[in-house]
Amino acid sequence: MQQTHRTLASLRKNLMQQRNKKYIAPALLILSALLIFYGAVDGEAAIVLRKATKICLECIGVG
Amino acid sequence: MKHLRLFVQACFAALTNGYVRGFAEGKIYEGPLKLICLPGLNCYSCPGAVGACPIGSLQAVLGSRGRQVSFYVLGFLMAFGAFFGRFVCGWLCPFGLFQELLHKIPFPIKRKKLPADRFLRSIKYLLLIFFVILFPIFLVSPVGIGDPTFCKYICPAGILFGGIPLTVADAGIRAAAGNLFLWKLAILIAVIVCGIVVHRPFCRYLCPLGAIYGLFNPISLLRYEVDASKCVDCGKCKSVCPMDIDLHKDPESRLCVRCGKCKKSCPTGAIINPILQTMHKYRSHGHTQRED
Repeated sequence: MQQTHRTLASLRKNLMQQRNKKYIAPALLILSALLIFYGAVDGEAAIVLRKATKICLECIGVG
Repeated sequence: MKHLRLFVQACFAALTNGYVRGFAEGKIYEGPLKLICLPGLNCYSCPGAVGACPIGSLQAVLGSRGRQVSFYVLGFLMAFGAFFGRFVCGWLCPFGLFQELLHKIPFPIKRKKLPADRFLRSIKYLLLIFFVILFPIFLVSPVGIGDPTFCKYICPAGILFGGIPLTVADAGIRAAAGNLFLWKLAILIAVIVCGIVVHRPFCRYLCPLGAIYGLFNPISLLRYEVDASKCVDCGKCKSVCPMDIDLHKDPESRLCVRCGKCKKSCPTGAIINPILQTMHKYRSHGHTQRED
């Protein structure tokens, strides 16, 4: 009887975790859009563009 | 379609490294598309690269004066991770494709992993924490700029896709290549030799980008789940998995690159992607309603 209760409780917990899981990725996608926007406004995109449009001497093993 | 994944990998590698003029002239693309971080390990000094490497970009921002966080690059990593997880590694990363092609080279010994696998797998997290994040922030020059230490001392993708083509095409770069170039070339050769024997050794043990995306594997939209009511514990998923994952016991594995071999081999269809399954249900429900 106790084993059945434990099994049911663990199945219920797994089901709740599965249900909650499906909201995490969409929430992170919204958050990521906000982060990209904030970073761009803060000047980080310009840093990335500046670095990416010049030959990275460190990356190619020269500098 | 047979070899669909290889086709997608090849097309995406060609699309994201399609600046052919760069290879011919020994230059790199300098246009506005380089604002966009690509999902895979794609050196932005590859002559063909039309986007920015996320790991290189992260180090560039962290190494710049007065910044300890990169919201911009973090946003891209979070977006790719939340949507794809390590699907990026299995379908979109050019260096992943390179390793898979290496592993196809005939050799008497083929292994899924090296001895001391568990210890070796932790190295990618150490490289992420120290070489990608902490060293660019704290090991700075007198003017306050940090080096991209992972790119500079470790990354074999940079030497393969950027260093070698540029040293071939440009005499000035060729003349400047010294001990650092030889060190990185040695790392690349070690990855190549290992990759012929072991499946995706860089992805498994060293890639900081894979380390990040692996954290999203349990919750990404393109995740795998196992329908316990259908799973018969036959173990076929583990035997076909090139990353040696026992997927029916560990569907949230941070190593899984979503190659799909387990799904194809499962005799009962127990391995599912919940999003694709829901879409399939809506489509068949739509067909049934139309027939009525």
